[in-house]
Amino acid sequence: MTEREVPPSEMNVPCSAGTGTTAATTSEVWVIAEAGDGGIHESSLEALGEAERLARGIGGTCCAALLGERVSHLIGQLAQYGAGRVYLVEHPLLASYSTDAFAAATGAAINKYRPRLVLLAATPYGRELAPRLAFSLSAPLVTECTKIDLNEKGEMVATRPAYGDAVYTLVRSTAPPPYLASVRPGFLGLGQPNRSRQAELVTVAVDLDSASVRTRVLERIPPDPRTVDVSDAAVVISGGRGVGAENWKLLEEIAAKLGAAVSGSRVAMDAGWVCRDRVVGQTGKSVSAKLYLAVGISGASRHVAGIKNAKTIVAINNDRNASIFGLADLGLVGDAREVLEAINKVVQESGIGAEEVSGLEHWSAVRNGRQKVMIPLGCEPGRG
Amino acid sequence: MEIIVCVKHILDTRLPVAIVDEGVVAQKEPWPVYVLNPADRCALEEAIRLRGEIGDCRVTAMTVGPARTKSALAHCLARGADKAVHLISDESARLDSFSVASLLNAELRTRDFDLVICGYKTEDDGAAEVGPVLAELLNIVQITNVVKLAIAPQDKTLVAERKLERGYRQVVSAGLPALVTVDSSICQPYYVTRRAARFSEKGMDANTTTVIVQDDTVLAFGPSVRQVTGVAPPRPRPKKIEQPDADMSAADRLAMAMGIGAPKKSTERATGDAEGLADDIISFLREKGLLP
Repeated sequence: MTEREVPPSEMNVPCSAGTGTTAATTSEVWVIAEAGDGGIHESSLEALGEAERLARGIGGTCCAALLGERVSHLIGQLAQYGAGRVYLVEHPLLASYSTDAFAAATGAAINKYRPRLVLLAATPYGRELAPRLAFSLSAPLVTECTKIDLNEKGEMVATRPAYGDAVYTLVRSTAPPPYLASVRPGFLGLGQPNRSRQAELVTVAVDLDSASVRTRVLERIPPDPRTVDVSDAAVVISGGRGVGAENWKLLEEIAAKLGAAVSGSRVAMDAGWVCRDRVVGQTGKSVSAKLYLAVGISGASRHVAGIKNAKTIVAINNDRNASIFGLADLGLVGDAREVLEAINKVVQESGIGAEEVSGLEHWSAVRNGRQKVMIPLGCEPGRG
Repeated sequence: MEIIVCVKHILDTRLPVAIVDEGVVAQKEPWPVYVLNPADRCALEEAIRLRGEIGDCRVTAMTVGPARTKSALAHCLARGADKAVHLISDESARLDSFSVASLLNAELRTRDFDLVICGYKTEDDGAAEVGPVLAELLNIVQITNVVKLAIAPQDKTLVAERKLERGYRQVVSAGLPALVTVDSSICQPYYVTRRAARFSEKGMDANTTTVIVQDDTVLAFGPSVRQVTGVAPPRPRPKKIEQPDADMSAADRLAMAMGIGAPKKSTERATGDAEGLADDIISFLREKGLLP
């Protein structure tokens, strides 16, 4: 065994003794807004609501920092959800997310305007950006918060879940501001937009070097319905006891043609038709699909608890008094097998979903190495 | 090619955890059970798979923690790691992510490496901070939440597929050296028997480097920038506020804007023969714009 000791001088400078914390901060509360395909990301809007509350508490302004290439049309949306001032950072290198460019641009903006508190949404991008930003700014960071407060001394006190949400811990940041926190999506709730609100616009010029961006995005792969997490899928077909083992294949076939993810009720899992990860209900996943097609599911409250957020629900059941019909937008009274066969025929004739759902074939060579265990489709391996 | 895997020994979160002191989480009965963090286990398994592909490659497991974390490294060696590095710090429970990353950085700067693999997040604290901060300290590229990984050793590049939201994936390429944090869905780790782990623990001194982090070195970081002050009850999930959206009819949206409230669901119920029902469902979906 080789042993040696690390002299203190070899250590890197820790963040508590970092640079740049000398300048005083203003009483602004910022949200780093994430621009997505359909406007501002919902989690960023949730964070704006929290930021507005905090800004009111310290008599400051709720601000949003908007980064992108051509994103000025999104300023209105930020204003509606509470931003009093929008810092607009536009640069060709910010067209798509890269940690290097975004961390540099956001860090420059924060260093220039010195907000007291900066909130991010704990989305995949936010999780990647927040620690790097915190370190470069020497700012204390608390990730995945469910509640954020500033105490009478102006320190940040954040609540965050740990140990698989078994405990919630209060974390107090003792270093001087700026403080950084990322908020967990879906926990704070979206406020009501106020369409009459306007935001003051501040344009921030940043100087970015294309050589500093060290990653290159090759492609963005849309979700494969066969493997996508049920709670993420846009279209879900779910089967219950009424489908039966002999018809399950048919259900999967239709799902493949419609580009839908297959899930099941608890009964379907107990019968071995779907795996544990694809059970919808109180003890399983909860779906937020655009279309939820329930076949042979009566609608017990334990199952319904998982489908409350589905936009459109279509139910097929042979019991005309099944409770799922009370919830469905369209209810079909009929035998699951007959209706499924008829649907399959119609789908085949009209050629819906003729194109094969693109898989990840080019990746198969990468994966085949040590993978010996056959995993049912869509079951993500957890603990070994 | 050198691959470094950073691992953490955590309390097994499958067993009930209790809050003992202010902000200190522990297991009381019958005794605390520590395991290798599941995502880190997958990170190591992935490193070993890459070693098999590349050939000339060594995998080193590295951890920061008190003496008990030796068993985590024994587990890593039993899994197939070539070497282990133990940064012994009795204060590690008090260290925050930034200090842990600084310790790892100090050790990594004394070594050659091409790739650092970490678990995306631990199951205990789950801050997902050490990886990105370590990348920042080492001034290398980071790619988080990776579910597929391929390396071209001759070009010194890697291609990784990472998870985004709602099932979207992104394929990213970057040059080496790089830091990658992997999701536990990247691979199915092998089961390591207790006997194998014990066997590797016996002979592990030969390929383990131990670095004693002096206690005053740890304290040289100054007081922790964060303090865990207590335990709060869970915040209830928010009630869903109905909002007008593009899928609603103009009349419904107008009604909502005027404060009449969200429209009630009205279930259409269709009966008849199977063919008729199938036509009903397809036309309904077309009408809603869910089918072309």
